[in-house]
Amino acid sequence: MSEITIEHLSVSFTRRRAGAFAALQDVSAHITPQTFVAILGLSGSGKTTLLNVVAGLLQPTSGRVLLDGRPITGPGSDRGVVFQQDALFMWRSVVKNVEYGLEVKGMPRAQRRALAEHWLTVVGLKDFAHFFPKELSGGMKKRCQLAMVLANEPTTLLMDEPYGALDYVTKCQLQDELLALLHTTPKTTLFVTHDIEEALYLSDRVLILSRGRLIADMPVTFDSPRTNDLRLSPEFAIAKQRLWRSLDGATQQRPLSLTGLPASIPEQP
Amino acid sequence: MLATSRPHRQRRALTYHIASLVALLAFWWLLSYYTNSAHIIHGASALPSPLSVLNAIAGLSVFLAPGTPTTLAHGLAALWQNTLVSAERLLGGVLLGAAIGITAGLLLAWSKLVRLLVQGPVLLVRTIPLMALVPLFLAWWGGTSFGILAFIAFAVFSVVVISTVEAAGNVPPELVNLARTLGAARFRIYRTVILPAIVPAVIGGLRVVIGIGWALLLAGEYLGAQNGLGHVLIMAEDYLYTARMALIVVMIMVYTFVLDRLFTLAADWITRWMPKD
Repeated sequence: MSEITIEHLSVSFTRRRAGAFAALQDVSAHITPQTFVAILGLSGSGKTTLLNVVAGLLQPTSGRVLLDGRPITGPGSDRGVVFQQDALFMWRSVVKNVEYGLEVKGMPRAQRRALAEHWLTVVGLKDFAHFFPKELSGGMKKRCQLAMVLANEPTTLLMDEPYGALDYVTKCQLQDELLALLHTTPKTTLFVTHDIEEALYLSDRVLILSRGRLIADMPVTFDSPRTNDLRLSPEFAIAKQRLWRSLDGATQQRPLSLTGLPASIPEQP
Repeated sequence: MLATSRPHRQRRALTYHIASLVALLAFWWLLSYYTNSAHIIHGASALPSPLSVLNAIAGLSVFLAPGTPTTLAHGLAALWQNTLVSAERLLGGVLLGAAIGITAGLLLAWSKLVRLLVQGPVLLVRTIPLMALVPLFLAWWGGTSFGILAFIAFAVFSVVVISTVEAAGNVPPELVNLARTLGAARFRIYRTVILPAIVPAVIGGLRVVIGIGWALLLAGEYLGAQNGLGHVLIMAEDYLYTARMALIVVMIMVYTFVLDRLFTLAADWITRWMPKD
């Protein structure tokens, strides 16, 4: 089922000089099974920290995160993570990368090869099974990472700005592919992004983080299947504006002082 | 011509390389021709000509057994015999040192505490002047082949162990996290992520070590050995056989070149997954 309950979650890091830094402060949310939740925020807002706690890679300072009622104590193959970087084992061929999680589970060679090839077909990399990751384009690397995670059949999908480094058209293609995939194999998905459009297009719900706090929680109700026409529709623009304002409001709360600066920058003589 | 094909460019580069080498050989010949009349040290030419270097092969016959007739075939046999002895010491030392160094490096990198504990001593080992250790190794093992092999192995070990520990510390944390989220436990991560990820760095360390390997080998053989290329070289100094000295130098150059080519081929194949920039 995989239902995620975040209860008063706080995470702080201690830095040698600056003292404690609160990456997350008292965040609570309940995520129902098979919902696509986008976690939206600017750089340093604590989005990745939140994702890493759910992944089990980071321990909460206080509060807790429950997965189907049980507290998360560490990473597990029930939660698949697609990392921001091109996290692939460069020394393994594409198909061997996809097989990794199955190897860990102790699946026999022939069975895991068949399963890996199935998932490579799903993400459209069947013809690249025996390539090394260095021979793939940015978009193909992301597809490979997704296949690697999906082969493990997790019930929860955690994605950390996966498409941040891609060009716009490739990014849109991968978003459509992801939606189609989740339509056939539904999973609870947490998708971290700083891209307002991406958050809106993909999700059922947007959580906005700012400086470690949850400042907004908005449902997204566009019909599925979503197509590129939606990106250009007036209602999409209106929703985009609302999210933009929330993010903008968040920036203005920053203790950024502009007093003492000259009213206009003097021109160079 | 603006665009030339790759094979064409390679062929052209090869032509230039061969041309410049031939020119260098001709220059050597000319130089030896003009200096030989003027600079004779105790009857030997200061700069032997390329031809006299080739002729020096036969003279190596004496290294086979006392009383062996001086022929080209015997000379070549002696050269080959001493090459094998030296190669065994060099490659044996490199392999032994690399095996121990990589194993020790992986064990040390396992725990942060151990890593911190050994950091000091390992830095100390790096300050040891290797050449100054030759007499010590000879004192321990006498002039045996194993003494020289052990000396080379020690030098290789001291370089490889450090590069292994450093490389293990430099593995991108996201790869370790990826393995963790796919369910891998610590030992499996060590075997399937850390170990393959450090291979390029270890190969880089080995390349450096093989480069200094010849110098270490010669130092060991000068002082203690009863055979090997270093022994032949230092014996030639006693009789001022400059042509023989030059012969051994040229042979070592050839061997170094061949060994480096083979190593590069193997290394390129092993790290064929690495992005080339």
